[in-house]
Amino acid sequence: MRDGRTRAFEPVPILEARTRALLSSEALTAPTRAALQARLDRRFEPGKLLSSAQRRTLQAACLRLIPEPELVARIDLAGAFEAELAEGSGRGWRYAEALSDVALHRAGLDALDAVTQAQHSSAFADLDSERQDAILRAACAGEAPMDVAPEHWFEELLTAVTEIYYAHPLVQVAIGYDGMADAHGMQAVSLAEVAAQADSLGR
Amino acid sequence: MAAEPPPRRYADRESVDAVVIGAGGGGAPILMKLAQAGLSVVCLEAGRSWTPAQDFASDEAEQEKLFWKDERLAAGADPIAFGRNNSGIGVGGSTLHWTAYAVRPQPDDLRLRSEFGVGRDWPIPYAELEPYLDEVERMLGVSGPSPYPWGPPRQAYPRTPLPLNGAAEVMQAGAATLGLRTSPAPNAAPSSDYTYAGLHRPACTSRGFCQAGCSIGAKGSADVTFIPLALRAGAEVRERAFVTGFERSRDGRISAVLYTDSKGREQRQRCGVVFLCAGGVESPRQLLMAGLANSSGQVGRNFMAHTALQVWAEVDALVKPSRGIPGGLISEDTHRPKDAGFAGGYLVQSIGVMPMTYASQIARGVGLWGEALTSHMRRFNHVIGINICGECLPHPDNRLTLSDELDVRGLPKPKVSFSNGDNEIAMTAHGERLMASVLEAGGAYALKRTPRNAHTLGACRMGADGDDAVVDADCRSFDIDNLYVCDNSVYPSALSVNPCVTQMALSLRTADRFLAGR
Repeated sequence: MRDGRTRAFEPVPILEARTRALLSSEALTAPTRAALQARLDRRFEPGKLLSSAQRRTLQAACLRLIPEPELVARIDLAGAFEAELAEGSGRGWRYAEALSDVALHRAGLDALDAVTQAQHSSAFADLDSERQDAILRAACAGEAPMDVAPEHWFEELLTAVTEIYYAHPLVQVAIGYDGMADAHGMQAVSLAEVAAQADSLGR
Repeated sequence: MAAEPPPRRYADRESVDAVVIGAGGGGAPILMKLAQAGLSVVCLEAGRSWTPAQDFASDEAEQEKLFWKDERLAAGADPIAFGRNNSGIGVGGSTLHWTAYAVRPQPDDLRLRSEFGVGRDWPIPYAELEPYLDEVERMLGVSGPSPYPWGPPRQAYPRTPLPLNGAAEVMQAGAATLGLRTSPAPNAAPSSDYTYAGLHRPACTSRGFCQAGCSIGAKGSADVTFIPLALRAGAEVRERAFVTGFERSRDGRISAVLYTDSKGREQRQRCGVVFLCAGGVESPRQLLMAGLANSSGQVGRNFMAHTALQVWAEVDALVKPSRGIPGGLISEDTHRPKDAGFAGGYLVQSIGVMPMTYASQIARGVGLWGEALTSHMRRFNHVIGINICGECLPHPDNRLTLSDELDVRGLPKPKVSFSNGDNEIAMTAHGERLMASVLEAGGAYALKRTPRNAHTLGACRMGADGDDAVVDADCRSFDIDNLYVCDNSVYPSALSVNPCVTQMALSLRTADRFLAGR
């Protein structure tokens, strides 16, 4: 970061209050409000696709892929991922040689745990984050010891949880995105206009 | 707006003059022309129709409903991502999530083989497409600069250019330093209110959600242009009608189209002629499933996808990268670069991006995860991007085939094997060097590259020779004289521009050629 200006996150309850106020404001059109409100309010029950061990591994992996623990917990990233997997809505394509989504993720999570057991005599979820990251780095690169995971598993898991996370209104508001504020008509576009309107959402 | 007459409904058992399969950029212009000529015509569209003001949210995940989600299999050295990138569903087809980029080809794009000795020429001269390109631009209310800096002299764009966003401004500054000419790009969203043939569309508000559906009806997608004019002229659009096959008479001609209706019932629509406009993947898939029109062996072969590398960077200024028309600025100075070492050329465009799409591409394409991903996404409001769209040569082994796996409808999944060849690799390297120079000269830093190929072209290509092509210059099958194919699958070469307006022009021409021959 050249200028060091990354955004610091506020506590989740304050972020949530701010997000709810935005969503219920007149800055959003009705369809946009409905879509985001539903996502904000959605809660997930444990699904049936993953075993409890697989679910525990998934939850731990999510926290390393997206290391923002308060938001990941509030959103229930792992629960949202499992629900999406169960809905099977998919993305319209997959790598021809890859396993189908459910088989891919079951096998990948099993591999993550098996490798951790072999190396550290521990479940992946019980490992410290530094060692978890080392195993995930191997998974990302497709290298030993994670070369036992099915091909494309890490890429598909990472992409899926990343999309769920950055589609969530709390995260979008947290990173300063205001594209959901779509009810004001003409928007500022040029650098000069955007700077001048920096704090007025959707203008 | 004046009240429209109730839409025409043809009875199930009635034979109609024509069936058009697909209500997108390929089918909608044909539907309109045939209905306006007084033909009875039914369009079978796999998806539903939308009321944008009620149904379209400024939210990427919600708008995934515009994408073709039946699973396709991607193979080869450079597997093509389908879904949100390349295929739409619904009345309007992929034009619903089209960026609105409305660049014409240049005349030499259609003569690639004559110029370079590789690929194929189009069997149609540019001069024959030109009046149709004019018509499409007028109909869509394209906003662009007049005069336009590249290509032959042309009619003025109906509207002045849309405002430039941050990515466009940074690209403009960087390119100026390097002596690369740029211009506001032509885009099919009017910069001020626009009326054509009684259809009124409001000015674009620069919301920047073109790829998630235009909620105000500004963008000239087929659902707010060709389709309403087709309905007005008496065409019927049958929604949620998924084509499953064709019935043929003893002479081999098609006598009916078989489809599954919105309630899952098998139906049969008798017709005099079929226009297959289901898109670059579904059209060749339909022909392969039916075993039709493939005496050349070319159905499914020569699948092309534009070279489309994206380079992202950060700037200190606040950008809000989803704002504005996504492809705000263009350069075609790279149409035939002097130092190329490859056939054809490419265009360069600035790009806007929405957060979920950006995060997804940075995860999948760059491999960022953990702190590297989250800290970068906290800088989202400072991200800009540019990309190329360039020629892709046809190769018979870049091919769509039917897989053994069945999809949710019980039909074989299409499998598309694609690998960039030497020409695409050399062009991409040239574009990457240029884009990096432009970004750095514009003061951007922390460059990230997301490799990709875009659009689904060529798998039912047209040509003059029935041994080398699936359809002739009129987009008529060499094998079955009442079957036409007209969508991106018929492109014999990829062109060094995005395909949409050329497709619409080709469809208008195809309809005129068919009507002239009746």
